[in-house]
Amino acid sequence: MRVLDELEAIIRKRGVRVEERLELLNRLRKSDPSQEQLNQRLAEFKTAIQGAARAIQKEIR
Amino acid sequence: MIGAPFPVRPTCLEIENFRGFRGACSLDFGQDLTLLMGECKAGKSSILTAIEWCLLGTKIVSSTSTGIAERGDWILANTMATGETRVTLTLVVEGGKGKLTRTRGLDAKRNAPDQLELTLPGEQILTGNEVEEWLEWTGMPNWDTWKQAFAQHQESARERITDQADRSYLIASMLGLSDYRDLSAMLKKVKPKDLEECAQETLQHLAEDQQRARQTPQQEVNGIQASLQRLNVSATQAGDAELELRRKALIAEALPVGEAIGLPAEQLPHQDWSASEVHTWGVDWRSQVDAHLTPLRQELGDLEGRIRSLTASHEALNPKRVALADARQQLEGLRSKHGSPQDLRAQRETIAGELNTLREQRREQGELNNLLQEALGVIKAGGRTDQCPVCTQDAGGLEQRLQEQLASGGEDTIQNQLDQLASRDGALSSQLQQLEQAQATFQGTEDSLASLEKTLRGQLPPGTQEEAGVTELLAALLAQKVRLEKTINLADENLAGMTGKLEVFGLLLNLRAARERAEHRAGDLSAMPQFAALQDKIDEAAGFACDLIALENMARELEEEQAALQIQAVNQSINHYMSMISPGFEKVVSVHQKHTATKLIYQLVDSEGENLTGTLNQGALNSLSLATFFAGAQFRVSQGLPEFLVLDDPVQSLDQAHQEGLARAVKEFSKLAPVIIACLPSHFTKELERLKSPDDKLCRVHGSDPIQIEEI
Repeated sequence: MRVLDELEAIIRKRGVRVEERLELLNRLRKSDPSQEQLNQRLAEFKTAIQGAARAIQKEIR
Repeated sequence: MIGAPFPVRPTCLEIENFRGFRGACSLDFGQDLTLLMGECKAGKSSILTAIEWCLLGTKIVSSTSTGIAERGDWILANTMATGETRVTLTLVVEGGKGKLTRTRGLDAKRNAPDQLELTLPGEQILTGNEVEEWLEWTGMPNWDTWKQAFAQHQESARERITDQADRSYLIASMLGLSDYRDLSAMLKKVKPKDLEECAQETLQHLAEDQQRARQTPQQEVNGIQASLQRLNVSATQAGDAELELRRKALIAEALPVGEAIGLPAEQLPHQDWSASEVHTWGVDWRSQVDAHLTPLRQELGDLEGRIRSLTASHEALNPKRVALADARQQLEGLRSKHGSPQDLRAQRETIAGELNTLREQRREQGELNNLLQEALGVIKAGGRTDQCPVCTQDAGGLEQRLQEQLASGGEDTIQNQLDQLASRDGALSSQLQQLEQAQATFQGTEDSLASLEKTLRGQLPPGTQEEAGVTELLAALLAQKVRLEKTINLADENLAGMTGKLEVFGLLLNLRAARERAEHRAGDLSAMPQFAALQDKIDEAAGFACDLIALENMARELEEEQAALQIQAVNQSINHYMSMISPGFEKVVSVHQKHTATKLIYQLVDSEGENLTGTLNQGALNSLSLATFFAGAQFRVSQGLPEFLVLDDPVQSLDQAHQEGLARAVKEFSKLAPVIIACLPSHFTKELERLKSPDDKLCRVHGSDPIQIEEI
C-alpha cells in the first residue's frame, strides 16, 4: 500500500521510536488480516502485564 | 493506492439459474451505455445483482455486511432450478478478454464457499483465492466501496450524502483517500486504550492487594502466637538461636531412628539443612517412618508366630512319646494274653466250620423225627393193635419202637453243642476287637509322633540335633524378637515425641516468617524487583499503544494533506454534474473537511459554509447524491482505476427536467467508463433513447418465466 510507504517516510523523518514503529508497519505489510495480528499483539501485552502482576501478588499475599 | 495495470471493463454477462433466470441467458453490454428497461418485477435489478454477485460473492446478500436490510433474505438460486447457479462476466483485460465465473452448487450449504474461476488470455486459469487476489491487484473495489461508489442502489442512494459515515467514506473515496481512511479505521479498532485500562486496573488491584497484605500478616502473627500459647510454648522461642537449637535437636532425634529402621539416606535430615528445610522434611517424617515400620511390624508378627509354633511342637513331643509307649505296652499285653489276631481269626474259622456241621446234623435229625411221627400217626389211624395197617408186623411193638426211637433222637445234644460253640466264637470276636483297637491306637500315636518330629525337624537348621537345635533356635528367635521390639518401640516413641516438636517448630518458623512479612509489607511495592519487571511490561505496552495511536494520527495527517490537494478538482466535478442533473440549482457545492477529536469527516456545504444536506428537498438530495456519485467515478477514471457504474432505478423523486438532466449526465459519463442502468420506462429512458449512439445498447426486460431480454 502506498499509504504504508508514506507512513514509513514520516516515521523516519520524525525519528521517534523508529524501530518499533517500522516493526509495526512490517506487521501491517505482511499480515492478513492486519487487525487480527495487532489485536493478538495487544493481547500479548495484556497477558504479559497480568503475568508480571501475578508474580507480585504471589510475593505479597 | 495501486494504479490499475489496465482499465478492466465488462462486455458480456451470462446468467444461469440465478434468481428469476431459469436456465441460461446472456446479455452483451454496450461499449459505453447499457439500458435495461422494464416494468416492475421484470427482473432488471436481478441482472444488476448478478453482476455484483459474480464480482463480490455472497457479501452482497449477507444481512451483516450489505447495510441494505432487505438483501438479507434474498435467495440467489432459482427456486425451480435443477442445476447449479452460475454467472459469467466477460471482461476486457490486458491482452484480450477474460471470463470470470462464479458458481454455486444446487444443494450448497449456506456457508459453503462459491467456486470462482477466471480464464485470462492465453488460457491462463485462476481459481478461488487466486481470482480474489487478481481482482484486488486490478484495483477492483471491495463491497463497501462498491455499494457506495460503484452502484446506485435505490435502498442506499441518498445515504451517500445524508449519512455522515457514508458521506465521508464516499468523499474520501472521491479524493483517493480510502486507503488512509481504511488504515485509520483499522488502527482505531485495535483499541490501544485497552492496554492503558489494563495497566491501570492491574496497578489498582496490586495496591488493594498490598493494602490487604499489610493487614494480614499481623493477624497471622496473632493467630500463630495463640496456637503456641495453647501448646505452652513462648513466642520468644521464635528467635534464631532458639530455632537453631530445636533444628539440631530434631535432627539428632531423627537420625538414630531413621538409621535403626533402615530409612534411605535421602529421607534422613542433613546436619547442614536450614530450619526451613528441616521443617519441610519433618512434614513427611511420620509417613516415611510409618512406611518403614509396617514391614518391621509384619516381621515381628511372623517371628512371634514362629516362636509359638516351635515351642508348641517341642512341648507336644514328650507326651506323644509316652502315649506311644503306653499303646505299645497295651498291645503287647493283649497279644500275649489272646495271641495274635491271625490266631484268633483262624480259631474263629474252625468254630464256624463246626457250627455248620452241627447245624446240618440238626436238620437231618429233624427230618427223621418227622418221618417217625408220620409213621406213628399211620399206626394209630389203623386202629388195630395186632397188626400194622401197612406191614404184617405187630402194631403195638412197632409203635413202641418208634416212640423209643423218637425219644433217643439227640436233638437237644446238638443244640447244646451249637450254643457252646457260638459262645466261644463271641469271646474270640471280642478279643479280636480289643486287639485291633489297641493296634489302631498304637499306629495313630506312632504316625502323630512321626509327623510332629518331622515338623520340628523342618523348623531346625539342617544337621542340628533335636534338643540342642530347638533350644538354640528358640534363643536366636527370641533375641531377634527383642531387637525388633526395641527398634519399633524406639520409632513409636520418636514419632509420638516428634509430632509435637515438629508442630511447635513449624509454628515458630511461621511466626518468624509472618513477623518478617509484617515488617516487609509495610514498605513500598516499587522496592520489589518484580515491580520493576511489571513496570517494564507496562512501558513496552505503552510504547506499543503510543505507536498505534501515532500511526493512526499520521494516517489521518496524510489523509488531510492529500485531501487538500484533491478537493478543488472534486468540487468542480460535483458542481458540473449537479448543474447537468439539476439545471435550476443555484448553490455552489463544496466539500468541507472537518476535524473531530479522533477522525476526519467530510461535509457538503454551500458557498456560505452551511451544511447542504439539512436544507435540500428530496429531488435536490437525490440529484446531489447522483452528482457526487459521478464525480467520484470520474476521479477514479482519472486515476486509471477500473471503473464502470451500475445504476438501479436512479430517477426516484426526480421530475422530467431532472430525469432528462440525469440522462445527459449519464450519457456524458459513459464516454469515460461503461454505465449499466436498470429503469422503469420514463422521461429518463426516453431521453437516453434520444441520445443513443451506436456504441450504446438498449434492451427491454420481460418478467415472464424465465426472464427474457430483448434488444431495442
